[in-house]
Amino acid sequence: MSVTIDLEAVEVYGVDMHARARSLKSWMLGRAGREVRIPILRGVTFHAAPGDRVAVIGPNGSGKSSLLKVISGNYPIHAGRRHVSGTIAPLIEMGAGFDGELTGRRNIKLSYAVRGRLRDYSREIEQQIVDFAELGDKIDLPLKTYSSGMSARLAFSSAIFQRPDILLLDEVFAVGDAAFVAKSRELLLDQIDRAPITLIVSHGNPDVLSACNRAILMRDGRIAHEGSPGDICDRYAAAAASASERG
Amino acid sequence: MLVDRYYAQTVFVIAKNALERQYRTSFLGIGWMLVSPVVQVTIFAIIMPIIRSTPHEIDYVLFLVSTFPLWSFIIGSLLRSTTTLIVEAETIKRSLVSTTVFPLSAVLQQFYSFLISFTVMVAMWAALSGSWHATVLLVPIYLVPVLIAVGAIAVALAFLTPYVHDIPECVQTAASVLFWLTPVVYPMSSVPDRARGWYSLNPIYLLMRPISELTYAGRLPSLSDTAACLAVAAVAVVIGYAVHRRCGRNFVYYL
Repeated sequence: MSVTIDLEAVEVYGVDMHARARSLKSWMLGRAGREVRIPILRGVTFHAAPGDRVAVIGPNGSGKSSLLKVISGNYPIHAGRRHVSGTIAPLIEMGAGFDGELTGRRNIKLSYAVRGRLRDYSREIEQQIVDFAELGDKIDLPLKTYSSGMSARLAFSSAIFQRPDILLLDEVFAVGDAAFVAKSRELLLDQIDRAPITLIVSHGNPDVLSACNRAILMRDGRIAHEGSPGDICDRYAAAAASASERG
Repeated sequence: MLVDRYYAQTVFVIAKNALERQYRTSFLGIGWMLVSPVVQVTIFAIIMPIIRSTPHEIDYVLFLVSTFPLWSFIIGSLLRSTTTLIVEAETIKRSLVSTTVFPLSAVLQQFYSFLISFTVMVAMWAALSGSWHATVLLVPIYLVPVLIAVGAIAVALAFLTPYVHDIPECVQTAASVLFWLTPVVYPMSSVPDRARGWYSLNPIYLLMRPISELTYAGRLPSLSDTAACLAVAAVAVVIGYAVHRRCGRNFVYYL
């Protein structure tokens, strides 16, 4: 089975729950209201094949993360066609499912559980994560006693040990001291290199751009431009500059 | 998906961690799960006979042991499950876990508590009264349809709540009404004959009745009681499946 991502004219919209609650009251009072839909992705067509490392660039609210969630299957589509083949690892938020009351060790297993990855969990991988995060004996203390740097190291380490066909990275950056950042960066680039297809959401981070061979610029839920990372980054910078002049 | 051992393991891991988190910082820890039923039986045994003129044919403490923990499990599970998807919204939007694990973990967590409470209460009763019904050993068999029914309705409620955020309040209100329409604190014998027929429409009573028969009456449930219990479980599964099928696709946009 070949690893591919095919999106054709994909439409996705959210729902304004406050307006919906008001309309429900209207409905009960006999004044029928309508569900207020918020467009998230509009007519997005995107294809990726093995060897593609795609930087997804754009301002906040342009639909970058939603595009990744559509590819991962977290967001079902309302119109268009979605065909994705291959195993997917969405690293969309570090520390998903972490619980401050539990020990770091317990949180590793919990994060595997809530990410639906228990199949990959083992004592060996747990030890690899503990070693990589450099937490030593502190791994058996409750997470709430960790510094923010330690928590972030554990979150990064718990998420990064995966071998997917399609790697989706949303603003995933290593944090901590210089040595940890350096080795995390190396591991992250190695992961990007191993995965047949990688999509990385970025605001123009040079490390990210250097790892990519394609880029798309998102604007208002649409793919506005597609090209080389350098070209797209220049367009994004120019658009940001002109917006700032207007503002 | 339900036969996948990793799916079952995920449900267990989430339930176990939630339980551990609940008691982690208390001195007694998981011991509270033992203290609570002991206190309840003590209250049943000492206070209830004082405030209630118990008919002599009814062993009221044993009756409460046969109904109260089970009622708490059923209602507690349904209430907890309603908000599970809302509470886990951010995780659901970012991971690939099957979303039904969250309401089922809530049910499992309540089930652990029920098993401990029920076992402690029955053991205490046996120790205090010097007698027990061997039929209580068959309770695990009749808990299977109860667990299936509660799990199915928990899934249905969890997936309805994103669309109708009033569901938790509705369940809470319905539970307080049903508490008095179900023989939990009063035996069926105190219900007038003309009203008993209505109880056959109460699914919670139909689920609870075989276990009450085994624990309190010390006899095997009748064939019709067993069939009614199984029928409730089957209908619950159909409802749970239908709601999940209808609401499970787009619920993420309503969280």
